[in-house]
Amino acid sequence: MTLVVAIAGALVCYAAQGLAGWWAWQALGGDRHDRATVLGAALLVGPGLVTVQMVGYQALGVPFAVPWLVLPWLGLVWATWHRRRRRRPPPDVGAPMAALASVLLVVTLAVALQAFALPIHDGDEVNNFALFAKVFGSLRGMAPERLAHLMEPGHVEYPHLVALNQAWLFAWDAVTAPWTARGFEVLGMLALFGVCAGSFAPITWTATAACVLSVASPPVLNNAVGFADVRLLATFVLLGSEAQNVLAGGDRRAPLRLALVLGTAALTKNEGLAVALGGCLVLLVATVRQRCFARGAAALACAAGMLLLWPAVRAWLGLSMPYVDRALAPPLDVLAAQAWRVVAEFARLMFPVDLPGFLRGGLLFWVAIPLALWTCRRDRAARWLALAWVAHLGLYVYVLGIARPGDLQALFRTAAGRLVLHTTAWPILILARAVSLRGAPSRDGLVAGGDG
Amino acid sequence: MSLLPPSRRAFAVGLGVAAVAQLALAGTSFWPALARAPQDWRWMTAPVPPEPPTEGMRAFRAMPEVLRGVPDDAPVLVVSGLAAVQFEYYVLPRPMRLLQALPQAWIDLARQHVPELVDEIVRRRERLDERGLLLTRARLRDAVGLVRFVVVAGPEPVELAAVRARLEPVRSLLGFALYAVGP
Repeated sequence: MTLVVAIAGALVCYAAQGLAGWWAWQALGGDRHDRATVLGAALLVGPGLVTVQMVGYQALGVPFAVPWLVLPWLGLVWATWHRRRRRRPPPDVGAPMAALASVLLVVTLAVALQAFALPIHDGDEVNNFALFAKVFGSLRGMAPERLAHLMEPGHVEYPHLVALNQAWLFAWDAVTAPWTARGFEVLGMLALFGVCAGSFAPITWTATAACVLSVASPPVLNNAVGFADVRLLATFVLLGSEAQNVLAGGDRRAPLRLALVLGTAALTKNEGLAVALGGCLVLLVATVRQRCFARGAAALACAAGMLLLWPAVRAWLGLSMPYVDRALAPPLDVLAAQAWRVVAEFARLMFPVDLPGFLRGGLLFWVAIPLALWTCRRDRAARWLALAWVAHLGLYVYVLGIARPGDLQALFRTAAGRLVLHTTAWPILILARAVSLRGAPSRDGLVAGGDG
Repeated sequence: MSLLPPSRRAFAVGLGVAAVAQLALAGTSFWPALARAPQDWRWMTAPVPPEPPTEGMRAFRAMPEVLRGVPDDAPVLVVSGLAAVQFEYYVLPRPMRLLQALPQAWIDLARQHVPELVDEIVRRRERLDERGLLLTRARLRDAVGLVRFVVVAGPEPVELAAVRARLEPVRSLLGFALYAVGP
């Protein structure tokens, strides 16, 4: 296969995955959002739907061949294009939005340069994702026999949204896939930029500054390549936004969109599954409070189906779940002894006081904490977001706190920074609330604070 | 408690300064990875590259070339030392068996030079042995009887001598050698 054909095929794969998300988001009423959110959401929930599609194919015995994977989504988009398409006025691209788009574009290009310079060949990116992507893609299915008996199984028990989506590239051309599959990481980064820009809309100068502060940070840039954590962070930001929509009421299809995002989070990483379980509470509360039992039940059923999908596949494959087993039967004495060390480590990562610390962690939390305190006093939604933030941090303190004592230092070195990165979803959303309270145009129509 | 009701202008200016500082920090922190990119690209793509610095990079350059022409259904045995390489990533879709060398002599050596790692290495050896992946003469003899090709990664282990007569060299590159198994 020539390089041009390999790259063209990869682009078709990514386009189909994105279109799958775009189609679902539109079908669930997400086209009310601004374009940035729609772009981000499409790049996030598309791979979630693809994961469900591929598990379905495995159950039905359909081979993982690119035409079979791509055509259903292209067909759906084609069939519904004219019906769903809404004529919207062209976006009003003012100077703040142009500035924000320029910064995010430069950052994306820098990350893409890093990503495509080095193919997937080593470390976590192979042991957590690409090895399984190659199994799925080169054996044209989930190959349960091979998957359960890999010589060096890596983290075969992890949810495999990333691997199943990257498998399209390995199914297309296994030779170039270690390079082309990098695109999935760059698209995760774009998704984060999209959903964050959407959270800060309308884009004023204040919103531009807040968005850059939130997403162009050292932890985001340094974890964009080789991991799924930036994608998970983006999913959490979208989850928080949609949860606010659901609780606000008035949007009949918002619960289904939230269910789709919860399912996507659960299929991305184990941490996503844990947070999605909490997110189901939002659906439950909204269903009871708004007395929309049919819609609520449908959304809860959709979320439960996606949440249970990977645990069911894992059980079917007979894969052990050491982390989940340990979390469900926690050694409380170990937790009591180690929790404070985890809290101290998180505090060190979140609130650096020296240059190496700032270069690793950035200064989002230094800015976000005072603003969160200020915003929470005035805004009920911000209080809920702050509660979610504390609960999320508490969950991670628990997860690391029950680790084997000998493993804790290694986990601090390898995982703690990325766990803290996931939790930045909540300060980002609180910052968005603060901007909407303090940075938005004032009631008399004048633009506040010099915002243009 | 009156917590920080900043004026809109102070709020915007403060966020702007923080954003610029954040961008500078991110750029500084990300620059080493970005500056490495051209060299990484050369290591992975140049027709005659300087030898890549890591075992993983060498495996990426060498394994597809070493395995060229090996049929997709041919079972392959990989014999390696304590490599940090995920060999199955390269051998797939072919069936693969793995044997890793970790002789007692290496543990004795580690005890003299890196005693803090001895426990980890001993545990690793036990795990390999439990899973039948620890290289022994008997396991090697049995495994060679079940495969059509053998890849030796790194220096040849002494255990290979017992089956050497059955192995016909095919090609080798960057420390990875392919042998066809004869009768």
